[in-house]
Amino acid sequence: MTVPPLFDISAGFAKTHEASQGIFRQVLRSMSRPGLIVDINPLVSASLCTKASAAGSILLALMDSDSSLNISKNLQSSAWPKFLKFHTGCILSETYAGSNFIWINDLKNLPSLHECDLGSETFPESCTTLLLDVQAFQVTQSGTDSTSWTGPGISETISVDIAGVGASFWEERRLIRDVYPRGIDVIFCSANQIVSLPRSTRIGGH
Amino acid sequence: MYVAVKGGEKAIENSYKLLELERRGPAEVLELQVKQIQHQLRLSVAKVMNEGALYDPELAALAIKQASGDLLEACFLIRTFRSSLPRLGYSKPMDTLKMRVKRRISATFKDLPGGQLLGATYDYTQRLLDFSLLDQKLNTDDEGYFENSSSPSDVGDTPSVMDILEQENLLQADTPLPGDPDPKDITREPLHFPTDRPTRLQNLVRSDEGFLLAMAYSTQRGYGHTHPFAAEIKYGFVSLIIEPEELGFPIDIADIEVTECQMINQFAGNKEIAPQFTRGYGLVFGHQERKAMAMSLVDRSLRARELDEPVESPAQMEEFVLSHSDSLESSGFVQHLKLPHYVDFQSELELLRRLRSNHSKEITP
Amino acid sequence: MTDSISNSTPDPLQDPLQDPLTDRTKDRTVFANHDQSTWQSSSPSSPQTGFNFAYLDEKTKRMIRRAILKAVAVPGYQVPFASKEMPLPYGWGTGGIQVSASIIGKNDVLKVIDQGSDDTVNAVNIRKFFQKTTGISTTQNTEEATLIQTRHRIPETPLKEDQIMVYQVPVPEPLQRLEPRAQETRKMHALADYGLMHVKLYEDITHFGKITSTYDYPVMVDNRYLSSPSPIPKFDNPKLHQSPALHLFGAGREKRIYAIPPYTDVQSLGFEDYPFELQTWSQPCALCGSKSSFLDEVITNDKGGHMFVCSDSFYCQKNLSGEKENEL
Repeated sequence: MTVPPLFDISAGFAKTHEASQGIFRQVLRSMSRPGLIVDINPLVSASLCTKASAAGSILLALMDSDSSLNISKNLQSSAWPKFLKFHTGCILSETYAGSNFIWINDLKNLPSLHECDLGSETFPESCTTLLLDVQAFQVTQSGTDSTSWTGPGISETISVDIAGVGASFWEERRLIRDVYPRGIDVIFCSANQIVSLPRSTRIGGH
Repeated sequence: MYVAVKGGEKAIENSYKLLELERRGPAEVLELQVKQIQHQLRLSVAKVMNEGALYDPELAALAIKQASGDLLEACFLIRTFRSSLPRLGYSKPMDTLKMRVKRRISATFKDLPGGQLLGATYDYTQRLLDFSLLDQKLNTDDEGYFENSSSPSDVGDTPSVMDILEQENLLQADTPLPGDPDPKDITREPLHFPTDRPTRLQNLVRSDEGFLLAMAYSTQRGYGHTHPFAAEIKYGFVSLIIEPEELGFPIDIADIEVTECQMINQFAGNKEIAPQFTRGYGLVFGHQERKAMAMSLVDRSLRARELDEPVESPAQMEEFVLSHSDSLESSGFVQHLKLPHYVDFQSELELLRRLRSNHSKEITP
Repeated sequence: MTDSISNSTPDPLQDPLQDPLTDRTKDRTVFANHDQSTWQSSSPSSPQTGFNFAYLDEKTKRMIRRAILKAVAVPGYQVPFASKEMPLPYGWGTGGIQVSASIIGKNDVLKVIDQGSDDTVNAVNIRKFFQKTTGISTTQNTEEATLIQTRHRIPETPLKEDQIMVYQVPVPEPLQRLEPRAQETRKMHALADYGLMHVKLYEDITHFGKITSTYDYPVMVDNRYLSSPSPIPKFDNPKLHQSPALHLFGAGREKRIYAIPPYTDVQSLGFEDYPFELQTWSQPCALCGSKSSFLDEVITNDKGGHMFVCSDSFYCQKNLSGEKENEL
């Protein structure tokens, strides 16, 4: 499938300034309250024949010409890369390493977290923000089982169940917490909602 | 009976009115025109362009008028204006070898290709007040301003003194960093230490002239190890060239006035490299020799680490120099002490009273 | 209702001997009316044209927003950002303003305080700036505000979930006065090596018999990063611990942003035998009688007479109007 020509790309937000501010506040709320399910709106799609996407809308709202994005293989022939590059001026990156944002649409091709930029102890802010498209999530008040989340932004503990995200991801994530402040900031995206997992969160009472 | 102080908004509005009256002064005195400032206070305009980090003599003159002559305040106005402008791109590096010089001197050689051109300078004036300037001259004759000044003299080529020395290997070559990366833009990324030379030079161009002068002076008084010679100082017009992506070829969009200073300093060298003279560089908008010279001395002094010299004096410490060089930051923070601090002061008062009462309890058993 | 603090100060142009900052004679009637409608607030208006919404250009806002998100992910860590020159000087709140300007939206309700008061010249100036450039609603009522920008105090009224506090920070680096070089302090934060601060506190104790920091009292955030809570009095430090609100800190001149998310552990430093102590007063507020708020000292005459009143002007007025309702 060839990349669609420019005139097939959608117009982006109807009111860019308002929409980017609105979506930023939604993401800020989500990142400051890990596990909280937050609606994303307005939603955009990259072209008429592409579905609207919370992840895509977030990237459209947050990125600019200083941002680098690595996009999932299965999205590379969609309108999304061209759409995001056109509207934000972002740099499309071939590798996980060196990318400010990684958007994975296909959980079967989840990178190992160690392949992504984890930042450094002196400059932890340089780590990647990983956006993962998932089918659904479920959050409950919980006890101390292995899916429990505690830490900044979470009053007591909660239990978060994310469809399609396997045990190996959680195991890696649990271990990476040991090298905090290095780590990775993750935003799980359904079609129109997100749940954030900043690197400060502790998984499974770790 | 105490009531809370209110009226802050009205006070501010009234202060604007008072400020406007003070700025204008008595009505019977002619109002300053921005053009007068631009032309007749051109050296103030140069300072404001540099420290405001924006080349626009008319706007700099406007800022000076609006700020009632407070040049640091004027720099602040220009800097915020600059912040609001859209960034179109970067120009090509300026070629100062092609400068149309209005003044060019060298202290290292009695004579040199291209010659020495004294130009318009205060250097050899007698610093005696000229009371004739109190009178308003009413003649409208240009008296040769346009012939003599705005078109620089036909001095021909002025090859760089530095190139001549470099040819003989007497002077360290100015090599780019490995990989020749684009310089970082200090207005888009915060400073991190250690810095590289292009980043330091950017900081120094817009740094406060007084601060830089004092740092430079300190290097001459033993707080540093440089023994400088002024190889070349020149001032004149250079072309500003951009190469838009859509065109694919360079275009000359403006002539700007700059002052450039190249300093030669004592030789570095080690077992592998024979001793050579080392460089210091200064480049500023407009005619500001003192600033360009101070900049070149401090540039050299801050290269101590790269040149394997021990870092012992303030002017060699890049974090010290570069963190305190911006007049907006220094003026803002010093003057912020005027803001209310009574809550914190209250805390200190309470502590002091307690400490003093404990102290007196201890000495009076 | 327009946000006018007082329209009754005499115009100094008509009476050159009046000093507008000290004339309080006309204020009594405004202050004495404790009815809720005088809790000055303004409804949304059209912003002044010629400016971007909230002054900053879109690219700068995005840069700051991304820095804020990283700051929230590493609580207490100072994220560097390319601070822009703002129409107020560095050192006068440009960091707080840039953070607020990057997050503020048309539906926000903004409160601005300095030293706890909505009426100090600095707070008025900043509030006007946002009104001019955004047209949003402003309020003095802490409970109504969605966004509170503050210099040097946390309001007495407890904060709620989804409220955002933005602090103006002069010196974001808590170790700066002990070690001015950022290169060195960066390493200390990377290794969580805060010995220098513990030594300073210990020396205070040996010299003075107590820890002598009374404001900008250093805290440990999420048991990992040593942070400056900004020059709030130490009295306010406990409000940061497990707070339901989000706390964002902006330092424009030093070019740093940091954050304390809601429900985060924030501990003020101390030793087992010399624990952190709160400030106390021997008298209540002379106006509203509160025994639990931070009090400002006001000199009332030249014989050393003084009185203590609440620093948080909204809190004090609210207590007084509550009393008045009870009296009726």
